[in-house]
Amino acid sequence: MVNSANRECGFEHEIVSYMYDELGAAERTQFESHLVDCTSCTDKFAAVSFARFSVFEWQKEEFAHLATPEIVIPYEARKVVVEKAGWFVGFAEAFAFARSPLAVSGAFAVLIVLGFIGFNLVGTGGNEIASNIVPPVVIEQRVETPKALNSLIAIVDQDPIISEEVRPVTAASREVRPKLARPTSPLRRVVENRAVPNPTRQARRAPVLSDLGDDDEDSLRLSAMFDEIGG
Amino acid sequence: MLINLPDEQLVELAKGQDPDAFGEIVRRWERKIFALCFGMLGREDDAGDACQEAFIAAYKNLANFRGEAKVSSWLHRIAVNQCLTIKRRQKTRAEDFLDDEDGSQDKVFVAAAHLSPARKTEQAERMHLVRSAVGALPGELREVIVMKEFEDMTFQEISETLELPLSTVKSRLYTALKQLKMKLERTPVEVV
Ligand SMILES: [Zn+2]
Repeated sequence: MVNSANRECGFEHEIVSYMYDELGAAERTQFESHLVDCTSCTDKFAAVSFARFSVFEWQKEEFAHLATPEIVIPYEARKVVVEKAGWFVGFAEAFAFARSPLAVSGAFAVLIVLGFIGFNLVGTGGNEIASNIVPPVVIEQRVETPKALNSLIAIVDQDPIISEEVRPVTAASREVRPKLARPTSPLRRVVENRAVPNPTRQARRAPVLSDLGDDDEDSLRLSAMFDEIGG
Repeated sequence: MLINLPDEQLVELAKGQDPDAFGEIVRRWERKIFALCFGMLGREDDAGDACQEAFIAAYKNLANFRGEAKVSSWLHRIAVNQCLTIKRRQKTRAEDFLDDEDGSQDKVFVAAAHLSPARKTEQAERMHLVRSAVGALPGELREVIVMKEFEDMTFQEISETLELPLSTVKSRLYTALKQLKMKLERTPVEVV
């Protein structure tokens, strides 16, 4: 028997490999032959086995029976955030030379005032002005859309799947959004379509990773698209 | 009171045919011997058998205990021998019945027997203790334990994941388990 005082027998580093059955056949036999003769290794093996079993038991008691949680990616919520930010971000980018948000807001105010004066000059009534100075209307007609948004619009128009989603032509959607009948800019279509509840989309639950099939490809493409524009 | 006597004295009493003395040795060491067998065999059911056989062998061999080694080392050696015997037996059986199993040593979760309320409390305390002890380990030691026991990764896989040499992964796990054992022993759970 190897003296237990002999702490460094050279087999210590094999203990965990043996315990987890990760030694080759020859090494395993060699280690086992050593183990029956080395008190030091036997005691060390017992010590780490005790710790290992405690962790194993904990894993079994508190973890093994737990169901893997269903992972749901909130694609819908993300789109809303991107689109809400859209018009102001677009405006801010158009005025990129102005470094602070305050300056951008100032420019916005100037635009509104100019719009107000312009409408007065052509003899429009005050009540109509009030209903026309809603931010998206002013922005989309006066401000050049930034590059990123233009590329988004190009993708939307070219992609039949996305275009279908952006311009639903069901009777239900026409009822909810009568104003969509008039021609608007592509950006406007994107924004307005999102703001108005779409019954077909609402009925759909958020896609789950495990059940993304061909039918859900539109969600994936849209999210990839928003990634592209840095949303 | 037997509970206050050192191991060596208990063995002497057991040699003198005191069954309670050997019973106290079993109570004191059964969990650690069971864990050792689990470390050797990797399966709870096999470990239970080996542990049982080890204590029977120890009882039969009481007369051979000369006091040259600690009782714990003596029990460890008996248990290791029992485990190796079981392994050899399993190997022979696997060779005899090649289609019986794939020969792997997968961990098997055997449904726990119905525990008494006292045992449940003890179990809960122990789990709390293990959780705290693992949580108190330095991060680099904790992660290898979790990867090994919870994610069932091989040393090679851990080495690739953490971008560390294989030897470092093994020594980290060894250190982690040694530290864990010390932490667990500092606050023993009362066995009811
Ligand atoms: Zn050794």
